[in-house]
Amino acid sequence: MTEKKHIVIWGNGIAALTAALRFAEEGITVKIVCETSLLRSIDVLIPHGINAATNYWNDGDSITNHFEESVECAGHLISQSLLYKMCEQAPKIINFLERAGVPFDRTVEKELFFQKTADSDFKRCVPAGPHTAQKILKVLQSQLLRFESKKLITCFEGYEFLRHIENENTHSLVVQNIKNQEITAIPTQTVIFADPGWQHHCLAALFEQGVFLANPEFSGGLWTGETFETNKKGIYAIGDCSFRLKGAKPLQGNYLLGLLFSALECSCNIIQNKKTFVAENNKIEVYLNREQENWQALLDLTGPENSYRLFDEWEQIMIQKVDCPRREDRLLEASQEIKKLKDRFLRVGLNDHKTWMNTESVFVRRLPRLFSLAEARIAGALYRQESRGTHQRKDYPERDDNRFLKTTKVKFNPAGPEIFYENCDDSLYPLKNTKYQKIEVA
Amino acid sequence: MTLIHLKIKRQDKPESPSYFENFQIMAESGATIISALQIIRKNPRNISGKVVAPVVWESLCHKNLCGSCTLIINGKVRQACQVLLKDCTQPIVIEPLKKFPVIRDLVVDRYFLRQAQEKMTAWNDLDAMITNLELEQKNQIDSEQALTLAGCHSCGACLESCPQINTNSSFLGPAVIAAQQFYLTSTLGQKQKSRFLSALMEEGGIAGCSNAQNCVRHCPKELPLTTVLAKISRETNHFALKKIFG
Repeated sequence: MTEKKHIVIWGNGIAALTAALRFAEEGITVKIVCETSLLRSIDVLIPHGINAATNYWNDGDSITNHFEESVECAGHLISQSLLYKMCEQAPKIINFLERAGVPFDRTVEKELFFQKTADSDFKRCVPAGPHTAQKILKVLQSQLLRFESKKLITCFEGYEFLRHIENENTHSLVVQNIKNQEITAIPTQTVIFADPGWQHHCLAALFEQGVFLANPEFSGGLWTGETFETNKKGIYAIGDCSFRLKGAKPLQGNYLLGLLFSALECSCNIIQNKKTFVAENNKIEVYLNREQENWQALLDLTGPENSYRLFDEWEQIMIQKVDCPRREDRLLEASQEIKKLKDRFLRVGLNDHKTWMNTESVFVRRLPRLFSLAEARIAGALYRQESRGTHQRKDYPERDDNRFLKTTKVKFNPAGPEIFYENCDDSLYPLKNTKYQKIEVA
Repeated sequence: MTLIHLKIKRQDKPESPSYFENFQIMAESGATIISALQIIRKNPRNISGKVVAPVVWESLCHKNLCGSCTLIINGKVRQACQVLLKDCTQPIVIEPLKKFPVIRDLVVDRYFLRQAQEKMTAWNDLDAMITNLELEQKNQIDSEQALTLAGCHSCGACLESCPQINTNSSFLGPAVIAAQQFYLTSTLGQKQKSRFLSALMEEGGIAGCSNAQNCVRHCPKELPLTTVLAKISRETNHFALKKIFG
């Protein structure tokens, strides 16, 4: 099976749709593969509007101000050249959304209504009613349907991500149809991950297969370069999947901007480098058979443990012992308890043994991935002996820029995650010790 | 914590017969229908104590924004994440939507909504949307109406309650017409008015509406659907007459 010029995108959120539309406009065929139906995305929950430093109100705002505020908010742990580019592009991104029909809030003069947010000194954030993300999604979805009717985009809806196969520069996504539970492979040379999945389980699956994670202690994502390519050639991660630009997310209005910008930047890079998108289906039967056997084995599980209750316990451990404020002893306890959960998971059983839309089997498959992701998060939090941004340690309440102005990089190892540190780009706005306020946490 | 009695309509496969199964659970009075389903799956036993397969349902955001969890609860179309157990008379009867084909238990196939949008071409036709970011187009719109209309999350409640959605009618439903109106109000959409109105005059379009006004009563986002339908109907009439007499 040989298909010319196509690209596979995993996800149906804002980042995934934006990237898909960019490729489709270039005449490249896109396959969108996603868990839920195209019209349902969890991105609707993203709060606030979009930031763009246009200085409409003449309050002294500029791209530099936007950039500096974002850096401060990220605790300086962010790649600055990429972030600056994002701030530069912001007004143009609003242009394209407006052309497509997003109903942004307007002043009486019918101009964009830039508003002040709680954590910024400037009026820079433009919302579209109370749920900006939902409006943007709606418009992008309708554009996607337009390209679908032109046969440039094909949607594969209702698929569960199982694994990826790398073979001579070709990637294949092994996916399972949630409805009829058929396991298939989607071959491609370039794949973009734009949906971390429920509780980031897709990221965890990739992590277990050798893709590096970065900054898991601050939620983070897959490690990517500035072109959004992961450590495996041909696998890209954008939006919430990539750790880049995630540091700037807490500044209200930067979240949506980050999603849109990363999608544009990544797709432009791929198009400019004129990658060949031809993929050939090579020896993947072995893997497909193995996944099929795994699934059959999964259906036959009849242990005493209920997967949903195990998940509840996992959630409680994460909330009580891993969420901030963190302490070394609690983190160590949590890591022990995750180990115990892993042992108990071996005795898990299913109540649903049907072979049609068996959502319980899907859930059981996701569960062990969450455990390995939790281990990476705990390890990252243990080694980072300081407090910075969303990572707060009670035993190390100060920010330690000498030791930890670095990105945590995590490699999967069945015995336990391996941690490296990578220097952080601070070329444009060097470190100052001012402005960083310490907040007392009870 | 109170004892709650649920009566859930189940179906194993699209072609197999449906049946009701009763469950009894302990739940907080402030819990929603979705929470009740989550409690059931942790210990999936029916009222006689027999272990059964957990109920399959669809939900995502739990904030009435995604439109996944539309169910018929005690005979009314509701978003399950917005219905509190304490507000329902017991036994609480939970059924899947009836106008769409059931996949399993409470999950239905709402592909029809997408098809309708594709048939009606409910989108702005524009070139180089993302490729050329320099292009500017100020949207001189009535932002308040556009905002309400954009709130539609394609849940299918209006189609479920509409008497015109049946096997004998080709009507595509009020949701897609509201989407058309949303794009019609944008500045670019105004320039494509004839495309929108011609699509609306075709089979399955505005002519299918019988003005039963059920949609506006059941819309979880409180869209002014009947107002939109009336306006569109007037505009298409205008458009058709203009086409004939010039």
